[in-house]
Order: sequence, then C-alpha cells, then structure tokens
Amino acid sequence: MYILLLEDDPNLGRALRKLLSTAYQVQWVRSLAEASNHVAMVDYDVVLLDLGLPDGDGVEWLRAMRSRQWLTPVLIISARDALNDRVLGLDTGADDYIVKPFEAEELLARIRVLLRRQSGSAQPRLTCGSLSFSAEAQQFYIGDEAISLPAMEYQILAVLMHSASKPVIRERLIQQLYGLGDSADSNTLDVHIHTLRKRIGKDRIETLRGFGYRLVPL
Amino acid sequence: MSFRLSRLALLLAVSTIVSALSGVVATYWEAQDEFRDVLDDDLENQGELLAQVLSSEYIRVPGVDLDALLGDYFDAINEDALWLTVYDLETGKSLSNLPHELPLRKVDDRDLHLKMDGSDWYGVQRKGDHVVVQVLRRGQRFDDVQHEVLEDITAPILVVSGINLLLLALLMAMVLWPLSRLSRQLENRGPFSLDPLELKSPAREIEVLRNTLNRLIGGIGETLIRERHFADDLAHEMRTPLTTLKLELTASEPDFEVMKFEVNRLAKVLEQLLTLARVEHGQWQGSFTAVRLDEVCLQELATLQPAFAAATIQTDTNLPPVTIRGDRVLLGVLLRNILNNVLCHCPARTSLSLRLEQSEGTAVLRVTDSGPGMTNAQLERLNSGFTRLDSRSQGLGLGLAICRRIVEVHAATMHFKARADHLPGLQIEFIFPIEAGLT
Repeated sequence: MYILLLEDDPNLGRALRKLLSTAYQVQWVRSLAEASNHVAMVDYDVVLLDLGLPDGDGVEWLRAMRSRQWLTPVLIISARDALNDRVLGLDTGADDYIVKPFEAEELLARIRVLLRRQSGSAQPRLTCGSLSFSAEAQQFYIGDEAISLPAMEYQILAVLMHSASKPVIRERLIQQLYGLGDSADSNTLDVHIHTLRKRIGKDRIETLRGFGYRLVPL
Repeated sequence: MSFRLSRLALLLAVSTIVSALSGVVATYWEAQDEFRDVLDDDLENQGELLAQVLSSEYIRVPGVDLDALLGDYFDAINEDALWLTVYDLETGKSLSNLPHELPLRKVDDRDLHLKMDGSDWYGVQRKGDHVVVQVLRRGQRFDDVQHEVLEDITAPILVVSGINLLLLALLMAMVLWPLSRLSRQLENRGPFSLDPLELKSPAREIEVLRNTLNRLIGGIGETLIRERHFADDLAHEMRTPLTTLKLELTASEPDFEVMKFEVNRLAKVLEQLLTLARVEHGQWQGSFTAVRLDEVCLQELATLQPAFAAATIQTDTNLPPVTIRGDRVLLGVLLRNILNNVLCHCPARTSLSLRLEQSEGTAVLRVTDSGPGMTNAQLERLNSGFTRLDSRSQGLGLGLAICRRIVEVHAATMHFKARADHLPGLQIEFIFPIEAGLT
C-alpha cells in the first residue's frame, strides 16, 4: 500500500518513514506544495498529514483538497490536542486524528483501519475466495495455511487485496513497487506477477490487457 | 451599598413631580390667604376713607353725583365687581353705584355678606357722622383674581418641572438605558465571547466607554490568539521530539544520534520556557537602568562570532553609541535569540548586518541577513503573533515568544520585513523609546 507522509520535522519524518516502510511503500514530503504535486500524480491509499507546515496550515489544505472531491483517507498527526482542533480536523474531512506523541502500534493500527475501510471490509482480515490477508500480522493465507512472499510480491498482492476484486492499473502497482521518481521497469512488474501467480495460483490474478490486473475470488 | 441608577432616576422623576405639585398647592393656598387679606384690608380702608370723607364734606343724599363725588377716590367705581352704597342717616335716603332697594339693616354692622344678582358679595360697613358706607366686592371677582394669580405663579413652575422631566428622560435615554443594555450584554456574555459590544448612544461618554471596552476586548482577543499560537508552538516543540523519541525507542534499530539530538532539543525548549517564565514574572521596569544598546549588540555578537565564522556567515556592524532605559540581561537574551535564529536559518556564505541609529526620541536597531528570507505570508504570520514557521526553529519558536515579551517590557516594537534593497533576506527592526535626558 502506498502512503503519503506529510511531516516537516526531519527527525520525526525519518522515524515515521522507517516505521511505515516495514509494511508500506512510503512517500515523505515536507511541505503542502510538494504534497499537492504528489497527490495530483499518485492515487495514495492513505495520507498522514501534519498540521503546522512551513507553507501553511494542513487543515486548510485538506479543506481545499476535499472541496475538489479528493477522496483519499487522511490521518492527521498533530501536536494540537485541543478538542476544537480535533473536531475541526475531522469535520474538515480527515478520517482520523492522532495526537503526538503516539505509540507506533497505535499509528499502525489506525492506518490498518483506514485501509480496511477503504477496501470495504469491516473484518480485520481481508478475504478474496480462499485467499486472505491479515494486515496486523502482515501475513497472507490460503485457507488456514500461511504463505510467505518476497517483499515485492507482498506489496503487489496487498494492493490487489485491498482493491477487493476491482481492477488495479499497472501504473498503480509500479508506483507501489518503486514510488515516484525512480525509473520503473514495466517488465519487472510482469516478472513479479508471474512469480506471484506461481505462489498463489495462476488463475487468482487475471490480466486485463492494456489496463492492469484483478484478483479473482477462488 | 448597591443600587440601580435607573431606580435612582425614577426616584428623581417622582421627586420632581411631587415637589412641583406640592409647590403649586402650597403657593396656591398661601397666595389665597394672602390675597384675601390684602383685598379685605383694601375694602376696609376704602370704607373707612369714604366714611370719613363723606362725614367731613357732608352732602345730602340724593342731590349729588356719586360717580363724580367718588370718582376721585375709587378708581374702580364703575366696575360691576365693586358695590358701593352710601346711606344718609338724617334723610334715610341711600345712594349706590348699582341699582338696588336694599335697606340698611344695622348701623353698627362691620362685616357684610349680601346676595344680589345671584352673586355673593363680601365687604365692610363703616359709619361716619351722618352717613353709613358699605363697600362690597363680588365673590366671583375674588375667585377670578385668585385663578389669575394661581396661573401666573404655577405656570412657570409647571413649565420648568416639565423641562426638568424631559431632560431627565433624555438623560435616561442617552446614558442610563445604554448603560443598562451594556450591563445586560456583559451579564449575558460567555466567558470566551470576545465579540465587540453593540451600544448606540449619542452621548459622547457612552461612546468613549464602548470604544474603550471594545478596545480592551480586542486586546484580550489578540492576547488569547497569541497565547494560543504560543501554546500550539510549545506543543509542537515538545511533542514532536517526544514522538520521535518514542518511535526510535520502539524501532528495531534505534538511531541514537537522532535520540540524542531530540533530547537536547527538549532540554533547549525547557531552558527557553524557564527564561520565558522569568521574563513573565520579573518586575523588570523597576530595575531599568541606562543601557548602551550598541555595547549589548557588540557583546552578544562577539560571543557568537565563532559560530558565525564556522557557519561562514559574514558579520558587519554600524553601531554608534545609543543609550536606552532597559535591563541589560534581558536585552542580551533578546539579541542572543535573534542572532541564534540567523545562525539557524541562514546558509553558508551569507551575511549579517547590525545597524543602530537614533532619531526623534527612538533608537532603531535593524538586524538584516542575506539568508533565504520569507514570503509575504510568512512575514504576515510572524508579525501577527505566530512564533514558529517551520521545524527548523528547534526551540527558537519559544525564543521568538521570549523576544516578543522582552520587547514588550521595554515598550519597544519588533517588526519582520523583507530587505529594503529587495535582495533575498530578512530584516528585523526594533524600535526602542529613548527617555529625554539619557546620554
């Protein structure tokens, strides 16, 4: 899954990126202007938004983005703990609000909730036929049997799983693998898909010619 | 003792009405008695006089022109309100200015009350040597005169009282009612409501009061906003490094350098907070002395010179001797914070200049750097009370709050500007008042 981290403090940004990178593809930016550019190019799964940023207030940025029907889930990370601030953040369009300092586990749990809700599931474990995924354990299962996947294949399958059998375009999967800015090789994605099919079953991933891929419930 | 002004005004109105009415009634009764006495005395004197005159110049009745005879003595002989009758005791004849056939009843009567033409007549009877004289006045005439007198006396009192009541009502409308409305607005106001007071009155004093209160409320609002910004900044300055520390502590490979940095950052914030607390609670103005501002600048710059040299920031000064009233220690803290800010924000191979000048009772200190500068929006934020612009402040957000407080206790101003020469960079301008006599 692809997360945009908007945090201007260098050390906290680095610490958050280190934490999140264990489970997600993370893009870290330090200003609202950079964030605007990134969300215009990439369809992120979750945005972590700090409020006090050098070029403006995060709430105002969120208000402007929501007014343009931008639907990506937003989790506000802020030092402002006043009730008014929290209510304002949520009313403006944030999906969740967490006050600094927070525990790493709590942040990860809240991100998992947002991802799960986005995929339309209220269950902690996402399922597609006999294939299932526990975001908390970061583990895929076929039936009750856990399957181990290399990092790249894990990322691809997580995106397909969260899409809940809906098609995912190739560019989204490439971004998931390489982020922005890196020159991604389209053939590499095909290789990873091929490997993935061998591990979970060829028919579980359907190729949509000229578009992308879709997970098939089997 | 506490009371409502409106009730006092009401009491005053009632008192005015009562005093006016009681004045009228008292005057009426007093005038009535006095006037009756005067008229009675007049009649009595006229009767006495006429009796004496007719006795000394005895004239037979009839055979005399009473009008001609009495015209010299009675101006009002022709008035139908005065009834004069002369009885000749020797002939038994009588003469009167009003036609009547009333006989003389008793020669020795002195006070008379007769009825004629449907009217009551009051008067006196006096006896001369050969004649008896009756002088009477129509009762209605007395009432008429009494009413005229009453009108003349009471009309001014009532008019003046009416004007007083009108003025009182005007006073209530212009002062007391607006004050009551103001009182109600303040009573109904929530503790966090800082909307301006709505109060309309043509009275200048009320307008001044409203404007003063609104200025006060506005000042409180600005202070609260500033305090809130400060609280936000403080929360950021403390919670951000704490979050980093928590994340690093739970990481599989903690970055100890980062942790050490964040602990130092927290220590710096704590130190700044303590400084701010000392500034807030100090009775600084009492200990102000004459301070050479140029010397403070040079001393603080000299202390940080190695840091500027290491950062390859070139310094340049133009600091003529200028003396202000202030606290040497606080001014040192102010300069140190500002210079540290330059060190934190300006990249290598930039410059810093300190310029001091004295003009029109003020000392103007300009600290100008050639760093990246700020956008107009950022300058506006800083000038409107924000103390932190980005994460690079590393505790200096509080430093800025401290600077503001130090500037305030010196009755000075601090303004963030773009450079006058339009080159990249930031200029911070301090204006200190200079007391007369300081050299």
